[in-house]
Amino acid sequence: MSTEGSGETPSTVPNLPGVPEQTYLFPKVKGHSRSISHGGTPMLAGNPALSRPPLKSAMRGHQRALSHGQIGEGPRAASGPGHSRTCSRTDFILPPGHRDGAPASAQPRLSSVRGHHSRQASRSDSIYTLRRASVVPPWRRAVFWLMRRQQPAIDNRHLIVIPNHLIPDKTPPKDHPNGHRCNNKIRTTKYTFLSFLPKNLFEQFHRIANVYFIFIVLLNWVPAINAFGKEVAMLPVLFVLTVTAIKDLFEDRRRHMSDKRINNSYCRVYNKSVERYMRLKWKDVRVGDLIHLSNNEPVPADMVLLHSSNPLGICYLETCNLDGETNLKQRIVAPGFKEKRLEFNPLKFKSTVEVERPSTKIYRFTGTISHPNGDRVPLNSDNLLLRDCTIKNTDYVEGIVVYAGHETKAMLNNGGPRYKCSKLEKKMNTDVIWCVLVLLFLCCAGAVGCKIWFDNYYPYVNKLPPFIPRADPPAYEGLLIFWTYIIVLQVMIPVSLYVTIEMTKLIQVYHIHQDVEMYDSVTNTRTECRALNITEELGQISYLFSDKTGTLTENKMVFRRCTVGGVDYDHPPGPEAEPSTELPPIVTPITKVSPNRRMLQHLLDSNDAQHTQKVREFLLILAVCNTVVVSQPHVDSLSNSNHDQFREQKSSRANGTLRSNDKYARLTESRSTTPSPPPSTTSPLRIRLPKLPFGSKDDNSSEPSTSAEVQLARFEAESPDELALAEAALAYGYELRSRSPDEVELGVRGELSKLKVLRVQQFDSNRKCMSVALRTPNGQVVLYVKGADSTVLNALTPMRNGSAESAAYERTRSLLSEYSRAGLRTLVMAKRTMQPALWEEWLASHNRASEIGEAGREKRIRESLARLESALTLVGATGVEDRLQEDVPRTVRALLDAGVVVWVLTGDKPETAINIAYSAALFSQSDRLLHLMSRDKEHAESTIKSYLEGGVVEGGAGRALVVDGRTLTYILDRRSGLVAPFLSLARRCSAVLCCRATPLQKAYIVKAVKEELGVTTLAIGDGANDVSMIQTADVGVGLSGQEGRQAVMASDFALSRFKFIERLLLVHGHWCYDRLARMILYFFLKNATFVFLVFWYQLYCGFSSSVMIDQLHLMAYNLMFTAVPPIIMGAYDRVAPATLLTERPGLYSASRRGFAYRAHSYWLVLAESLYISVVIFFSAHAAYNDTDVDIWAFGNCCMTCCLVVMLVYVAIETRSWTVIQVIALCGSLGSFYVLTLVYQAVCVSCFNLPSTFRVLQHAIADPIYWLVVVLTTVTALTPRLACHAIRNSSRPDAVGRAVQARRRHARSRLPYAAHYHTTTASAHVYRSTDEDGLQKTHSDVAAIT
Amino acid sequence: MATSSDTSDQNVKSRRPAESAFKQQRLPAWQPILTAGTVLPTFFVIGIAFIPVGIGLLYFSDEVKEHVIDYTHCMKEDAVNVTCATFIKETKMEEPCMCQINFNLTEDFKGDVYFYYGLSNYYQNHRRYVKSRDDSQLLGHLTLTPSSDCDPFAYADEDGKQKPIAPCGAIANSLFNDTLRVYSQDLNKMVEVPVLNTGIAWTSDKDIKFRNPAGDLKTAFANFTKPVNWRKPVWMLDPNNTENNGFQNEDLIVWMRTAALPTFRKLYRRVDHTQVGFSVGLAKGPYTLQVDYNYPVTDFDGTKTFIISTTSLLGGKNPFLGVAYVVVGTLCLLLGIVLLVIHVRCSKSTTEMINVNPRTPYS
Repeated sequence: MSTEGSGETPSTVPNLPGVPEQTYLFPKVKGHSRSISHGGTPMLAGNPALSRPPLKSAMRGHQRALSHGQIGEGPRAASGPGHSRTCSRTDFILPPGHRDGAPASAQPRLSSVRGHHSRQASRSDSIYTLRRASVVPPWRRAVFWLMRRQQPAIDNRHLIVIPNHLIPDKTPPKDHPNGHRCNNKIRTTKYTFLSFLPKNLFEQFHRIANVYFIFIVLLNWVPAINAFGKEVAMLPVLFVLTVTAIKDLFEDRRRHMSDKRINNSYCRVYNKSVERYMRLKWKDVRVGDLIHLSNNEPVPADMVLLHSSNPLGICYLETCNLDGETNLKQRIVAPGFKEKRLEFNPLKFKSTVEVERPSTKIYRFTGTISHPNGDRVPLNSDNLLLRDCTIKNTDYVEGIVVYAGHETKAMLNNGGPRYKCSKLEKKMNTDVIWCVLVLLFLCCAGAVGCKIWFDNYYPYVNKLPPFIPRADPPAYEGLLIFWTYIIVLQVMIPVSLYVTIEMTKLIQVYHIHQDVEMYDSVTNTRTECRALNITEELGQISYLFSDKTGTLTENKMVFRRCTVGGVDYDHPPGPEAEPSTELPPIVTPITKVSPNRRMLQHLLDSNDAQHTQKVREFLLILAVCNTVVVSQPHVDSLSNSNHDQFREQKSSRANGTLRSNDKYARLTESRSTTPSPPPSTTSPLRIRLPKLPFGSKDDNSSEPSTSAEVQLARFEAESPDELALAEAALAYGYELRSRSPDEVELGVRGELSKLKVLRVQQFDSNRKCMSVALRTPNGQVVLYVKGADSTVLNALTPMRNGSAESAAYERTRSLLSEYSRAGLRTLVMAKRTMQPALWEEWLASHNRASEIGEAGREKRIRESLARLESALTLVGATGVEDRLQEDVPRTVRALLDAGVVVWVLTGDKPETAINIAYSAALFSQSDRLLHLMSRDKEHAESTIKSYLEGGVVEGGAGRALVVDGRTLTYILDRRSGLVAPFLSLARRCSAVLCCRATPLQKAYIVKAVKEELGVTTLAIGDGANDVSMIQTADVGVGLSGQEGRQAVMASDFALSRFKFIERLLLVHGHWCYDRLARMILYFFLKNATFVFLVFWYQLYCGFSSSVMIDQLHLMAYNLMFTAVPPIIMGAYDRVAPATLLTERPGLYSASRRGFAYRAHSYWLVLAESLYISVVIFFSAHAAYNDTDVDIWAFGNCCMTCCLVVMLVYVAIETRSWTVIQVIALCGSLGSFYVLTLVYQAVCVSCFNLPSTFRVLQHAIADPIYWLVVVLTTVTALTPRLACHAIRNSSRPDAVGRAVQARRRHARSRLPYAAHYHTTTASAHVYRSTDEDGLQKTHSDVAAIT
Repeated sequence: MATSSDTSDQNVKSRRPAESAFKQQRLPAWQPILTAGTVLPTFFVIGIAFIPVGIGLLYFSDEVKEHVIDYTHCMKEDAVNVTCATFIKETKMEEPCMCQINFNLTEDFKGDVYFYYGLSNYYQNHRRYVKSRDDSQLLGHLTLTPSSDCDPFAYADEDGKQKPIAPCGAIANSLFNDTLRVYSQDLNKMVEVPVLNTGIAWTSDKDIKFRNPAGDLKTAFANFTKPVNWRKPVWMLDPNNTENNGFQNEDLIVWMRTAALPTFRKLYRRVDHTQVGFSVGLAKGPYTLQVDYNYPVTDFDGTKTFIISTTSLLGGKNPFLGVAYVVVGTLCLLLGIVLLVIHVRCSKSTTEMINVNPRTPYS
């Protein structure tokens, strides 16, 4: 396999750039790539062909060839144990028309993935390129690049790494061959101590709001137009800048701490002076160092593997930290070193390594080792250990560092945080623009007014009235006054709103993170908010796209039923059974499967020898026909000084969770307030093995193990299905002990036996089966096949009608459909016994088939395999349950009731998916299912049309749509024009199920819905295959589940269970949206009122931009007096109690449809502020007209009125009073009086401001002041209060009704309490009838309960 | 069955969030629902409170006796058909213009009686005007370089020399300089109403905000010149009373407190009720207002008034607040009634509400 894989690629390379993309986009090619990538034997064999030193001129092409000859197959081909995921989820069908539509993902893919395109490479590349393209702004990268101070290398493409021990000590870094390379010290902080101030300021001035601020401040320095005290006017901007800077500082400090911890981790580096490995901090690791790593140690830097303790020269690597995949990847010792394994000695290592320049592509690496004797050996990504991965299952490895620190692939892929802009914020931004326009209008009006006013006096230019000290021509005066107005009325632009929003969201995020009801005690995970600025978007979700496996389901497969020879054996869920005493195992299986008594009997009993034989064979298949790896505990066979270090390693593993957390925090640039722990690396299965003979050292002393003779081994497998089957076999005493490419060690009911493996034909989505060929002790070849019923049942040998076999076959068939109806994932086991000669013949023909040139090769291979997997004998079938996560039906129902359209996008086959959809309550029994499964475009089109036109979509009954991946390919093809009809069909359905969807299709669906329907979308998923979807959606939610953390890394919110989405959306989303929307509107209101107030005064001061309000008040109004109440409103006000919101999901629509902040809300607010300002100003004016009031006393009165009105306004708007609100409001008012009294008592003439000495002290003694304050407060707020009251009484919105109803229930107590129970039954009843939140008549309640 | 992961689980700190009421947003909360039923008491209370207050205010305002005399265009005393306004315009304010206005108080002005002068269309709140002062100078910190805010009234020529002005700035420069005297025509005998020119400014201003430089005023101001429009230097403002002279002259202090609105009045004098005949206020009867007309206002269409007013708890005569309170109170009562109606009707009808089915698609 691999021979032609690597041997052929060079010849195909030149053609590649010309190859249309479709070749790998169309499904038919997929089989080809898969069959290659699933090749069985390690690809080492192919390497000699490439070991010739490549010609310089041909380097580029050659490198390419190398790289994609191997990136694709590399991890796949090399791994005997399967690293393919169950293909149902992994198909890569890309709608051809969408290539152009997705530049972000498509462009980088082009360059990195060609020709032989395996899922692995493409997925990761697309993920990272998507991420990178959307994240790092060019200027930041430029800064980053500058900061690394990289000297231009002579060779633009290659870097030479010379082992450091070959270089004499005390070589100055300048002369050191590796001196110009990065060291391993990482710094993810944005700032250094020195650069903080300038850099932070520089960054802050990128925000338009701050630029505006500065513009105002500068304007104020122009003498002709200065309006305020120059120094005091700078206070707001300084305040905002300081707050932001402090926030940045704290974030950066956290990053710094985590960097420090990582930089100070230890690893063992070869020290030539003492000629052995020495402990060294990570940050001191340099390129060219030789490093020794033990099992379970993280890799400190990207290094080329030179030596492994494994006799085959392989080592296992867990890349979970990097790409989130928990399965083990195999890495191979660099070619040529495997042979020297025994005598590998750092001292003798004199070769240099030539590597390409650092790049972000995780699965791509090319390099060459040049041996002193002139041999050049090519390297590929199989030889590279990546930073942040963990060594597994290998005692120790040694390697040479080729990329360190920021040049490692892990760091290069460490994109910065993403900033998303929520819908609400976009709306707000348009309204801010309106604010600007209103401001300009006011300024123009003021300027014109000024000119007209001046025209009255200008005739007397020689004898100006005494109150005009000097004057310029009116037009000029007007122009100047325009700019002065911009300063005076600057509050109109709510610049502090941005700061306030940021702080508010921080508090919101904090509380979401703290919510104990979204804490999962099993995984010890809280909800994690990784995007800080889209909390309110959670309240606006209209479409939810969910992955199925691992998101709706546990992705913990549980062996549930099986049938052997037509006999059904049920394994009902129940308490963990004690291992049967009837078994004489050498192992004590720790498994959740409790053996079926009857099956045990059949297994041991030899009454019916034939059936017993079948059962045994069945169990053998379960145990052997898989790609499960047995992970043995690490035994440190080194007896040197690093033993105690290993100890430390062990003990540090105890709190390993914490340590790796820090790493996440760093990788994610502290997007999360607290990172959640990494996925559990333990497979669901743990077995106790008797102590193995080679484990000579007792490393368990530090672990309180119950028995010193027992060690733990784990099964690790790519797909949980296989684990479940292996676990089931274990329950019956069929224990997989170890697996190597050509041998399987099996414990069969206590006896060890070794089976020779001839060939493993891995799972393949086209064949939908896998097979293992074994040589039995009697010399025969047995082929065990495990696969989908559709494949395996069709490949059975014909049976005579009426025979026992045929009866068993029929029974199995009916059982299979029963399993399927029960939502179980079914697999059929079959076998074929072959004569060795036949096997040899097939093998030869297969090799021939796979060797012949490109054309038709794939088809030939398929046929060849089909020939092998034919004439099978049915053994049995299994039903594995992918259990729904807890509360999924309830959650899905709540989401549906909330009016959220739920789409489930899964790679599973339709039958299973539909079953899950029913059991997850996505589909209800009354729903009509609309199927869209077409084999061609025309059919898809006509089906959609017929559904749309056929009246199916009319009427009230529920509808649910089922689409399969193939049809999606046609639909999502831009050229077909089917997207719009499809979406209009989907819009009429309450739920949509997409089966067999590829990761990219998922993303395209999300994109199509988002763009075509203009709705807010949320995507939730747990696996790497959901990443593109999560990134495409407006809100991405990652589940930190079984499949690693890649989804979490890409997400905005990370949950640990699907059910938490209910609370996240219905409660927190609703709250956050409602709070924030009202806060923003309030912010507009308070600023506009203030500005209008000042503007009205202009009518009475000759449009001279005179401000009656004390300058201190002008500044402190936004920064202090009214700063806290909006934050409190935005963070703590609750429109309805959490329990009510979860009880009545329908209330979500209020927030989802954005009722709190609509298009006209801004204008209403503006009108209201106009009204309030008119009331305040003209009341004060009328009360003080023709009196001896002075300007400051008048302004002081206006200011107090405005402040009191605004605070009482908050009080009216507050839906839920807690002590926080009381403190905020009282504190704000108190701060006004205290600050003013103190300031006006102390400051006779301060800061060169107009003196307002003791104005408030006089005002307090003046009854008119108080009378005006009371009068204006009442008058200004009466309409609002009355409006609220009238609306809540006569036409309350849904939330209002629900709250009122609840209040009434609370008063009348009981009989209705039952009616709130969200039992399955009652939920259905009140979904449509009870939404109004009203109390039911007694009969209704009786009917419900 | 202790395994390595089990032990590590025990060691790992539980990340369960604290159950504190604050963190869980479960602080005891009061959730008022603003319905007609809950809000209407508020309106009734406001209405019931406001109307009496308004009536009280109207009463107080009505109690205040006020007599306003507009003397903008009063006739020059010893000339025919010449108003003082035109006279001082023609003479460029070189000579004072005397004028007299006879008026009749139809009621007794009991209690403390105050004299005000009022100006209208006078923008004392103009930005440049408001700024045009030097608070530091007025604090007695005399420097030869007054604040630039005073410009163009910071320096003036005196004896051919540029000298800083004290007090500088446009406000001080435009100090109101009419002299107003009221004579009671009691039994054809003109008796000047005794007045006090102190106690008319805020005590805080007089004591703290305005300070004279130490020592003899004349010498202290030797290096300074008077404001352009002034006839006499600042140390001559009240030669009779050193407490009321210089920067601490109360007429100056009152003037320096710039008015908020273009129509304003400023306290001019207090009637000295210690004098015989004026101990209970001003009796009704004929009076004469004697004006030394110096201050030009007709240029900018302003008016000058002289006001005799008593005072109440709430200051001067201003019916606005009383009317406003009564009106607002009435409106609140009306709203309360409307809410009552709504409350009665809606508390029943809310049960018949219908709502959209949440499953209906929204577009």
